[in-house]
Amino acid sequence: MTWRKTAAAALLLMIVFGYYSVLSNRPFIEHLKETNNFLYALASTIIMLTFGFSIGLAWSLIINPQRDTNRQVKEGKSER
Amino acid sequence: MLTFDFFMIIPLVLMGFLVGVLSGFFGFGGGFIITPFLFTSGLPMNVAVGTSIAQIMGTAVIATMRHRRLKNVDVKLGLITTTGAIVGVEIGAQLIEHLKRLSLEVLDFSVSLVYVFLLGTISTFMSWEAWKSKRRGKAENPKNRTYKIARHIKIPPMISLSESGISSISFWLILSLGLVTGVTAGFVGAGGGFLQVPLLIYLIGCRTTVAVGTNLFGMLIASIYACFSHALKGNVDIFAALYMLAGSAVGTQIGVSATKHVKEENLRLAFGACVGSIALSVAFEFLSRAYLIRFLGLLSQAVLVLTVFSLSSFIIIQGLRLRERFK
Repeated sequence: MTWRKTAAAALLLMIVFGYYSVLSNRPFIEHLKETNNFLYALASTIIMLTFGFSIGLAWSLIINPQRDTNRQVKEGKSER
Repeated sequence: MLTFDFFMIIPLVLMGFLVGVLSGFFGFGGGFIITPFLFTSGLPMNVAVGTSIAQIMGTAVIATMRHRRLKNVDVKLGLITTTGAIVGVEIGAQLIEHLKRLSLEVLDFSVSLVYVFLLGTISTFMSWEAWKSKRRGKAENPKNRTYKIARHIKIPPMISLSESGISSISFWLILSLGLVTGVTAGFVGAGGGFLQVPLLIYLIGCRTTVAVGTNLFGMLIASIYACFSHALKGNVDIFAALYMLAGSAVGTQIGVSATKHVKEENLRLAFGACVGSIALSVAFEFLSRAYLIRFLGLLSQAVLVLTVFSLSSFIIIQGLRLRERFK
């Protein structure tokens, strides 16, 4: 499980760095919005998708996969 | 353009958190909460709508990934319903255009009436059904009664949905379900989750958690296109969306985790309560505009705020309480 924790920590660092980079480049992104709509749309979509995916992946690494499986077994799939 | 100081960022992050909790738990996008919030924060309506879609997309990625891990996402079912929904949205939009040509008053009245009627019916039916299951004291699958209708429709091709545990179902039935959701979503201007989740549970026979996860997956696909389209028109404030995403990153995990701790009938009961409150809020808002009663407008907002806070608290407390029990 050590590799999961290391990977999660590295990913979280990357997310924080990426988040800070985007927020600190606000003038550039605002400029892009005014000059090139297509690039702005592409950048906005990619930024939101990348952050969403990275955060989702980080949570997957942080949460122990056994926990969800065990809980499902404990509760039973009563509705199946 | 918003000025992002401390007093703007904190409400954005908090709103993202609350919407994330609801989104992960119910499979909603949360546009009905975010859009008015951003509008009252100072964004023009078109930017508020675009930004809320961008935030919904980010939240949907996180929630879908977690639901997928919990085996709550039926990809095949999600893809078919989304295809139907895309066609349906266009039909709904055409209906709107037709009514707009008749009169704006007719349009406003029709949309509000359909919205309130649908939400009211769904809320009443789900609450009644979940309450009955709860009183019986054992988890009852709603498909025992309603899935019979779906089994009688045998128009080929018949497909199997392994994640949903359905061995054979007509492809056209699923596509029609998506179409109906799409027409409604296009007509009333909502995401359609409030209709698709109950239809997946009661018509197709999905488990409640699978219906929520699959709906989120479909919403993710649709919101990618919608976000790009809105951003192309300059309707997305990416920074406001990013601040909200920071909150929803945590909120979504709590919401999704709670679906595993809360009993399915309680989930359906909460879903019914949530949809009922939205119906009440929309009805108050319509009456306020129709009869120019400002008090009803305020009451509508109060109902919405109260619903968001009380349901989020219920989900967080319920999730944490039951988590302790399982330790």
